[in-house]
Amino acid sequence: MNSKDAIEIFNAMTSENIIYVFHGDFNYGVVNTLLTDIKKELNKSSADTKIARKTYKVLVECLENVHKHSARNSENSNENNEGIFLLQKQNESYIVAIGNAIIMDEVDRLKSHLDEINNLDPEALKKKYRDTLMSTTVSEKGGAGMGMIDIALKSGSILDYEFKNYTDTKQFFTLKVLIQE
Amino acid sequence: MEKLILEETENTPMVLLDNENHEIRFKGDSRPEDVRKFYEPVLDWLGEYEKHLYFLKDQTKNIAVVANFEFEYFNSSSAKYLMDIIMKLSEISKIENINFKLNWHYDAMDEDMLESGEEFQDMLGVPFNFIIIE
Repeated sequence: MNSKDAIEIFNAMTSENIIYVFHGDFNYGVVNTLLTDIKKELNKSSADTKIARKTYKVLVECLENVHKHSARNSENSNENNEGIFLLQKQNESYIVAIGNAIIMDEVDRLKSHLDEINNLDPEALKKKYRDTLMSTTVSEKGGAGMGMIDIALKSGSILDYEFKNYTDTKQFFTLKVLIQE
Repeated sequence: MEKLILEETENTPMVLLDNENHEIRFKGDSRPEDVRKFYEPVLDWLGEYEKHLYFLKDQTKNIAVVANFEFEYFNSSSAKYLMDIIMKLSEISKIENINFKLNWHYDAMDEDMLESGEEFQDMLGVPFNFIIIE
């Protein structure tokens, strides 16, 4: 990489209106700082308070998801919760994109969970939210299995996801969510 | 039993659990790093408080208990705990001589917060008093 690459990345991000990017270790400190910072920024820069709030809500679930579910080889490995996150502004709408590696064994379960959510109409999605809230317990990781349902409910959008081959044992998961009026 | 008071932070709400003035209050954002560690003591306190009220109800007539939920935001794992808290409050509301009121505050620009309150009300059968913040 040379200095020209930085300019190219900068120009590409500017022309795409990408207002936030983070690539690295999604430890809790980083996630908390990003969320606190972006909340202030959204409230300041967004003409539409409702959109700003919705975007913040979706962001919390997205970033906490990377923090909790990004794959590590084993609990005592030095590998971090590596991932990427982008926030793009399009007129008065926002697009949140996240990406992280996940263990191959977890792909099918996550995929069917996302497909199920995407196939529900708004009423059925609300029912799914209720049923899950009633029956779930909070795991060791602090998850309640509600994150993706919440993202779909709050954004009112399809969960646009993809899995790509990454290593022998992992796939790379990406999710894109549109937040609009 | 003792009051439980927690200061508001950028990721946790202000918590006031006051057994002397019979007030329960939450205010701010809720996305704690460890949601279990944050809310388990609240549930424990409410369990103690329920026992305390059973003891008081024979000595005092008409105890007014007020719960104020003034959340600006809560994440999905906090929602699970809010449900448990409201369920506990529902049990408390059924104790004789207890006059229970639950106020659910929401910002005029935040319909989601109103909807969340309505969801909890419908799911748990506890009547909410909705208060709009202009």
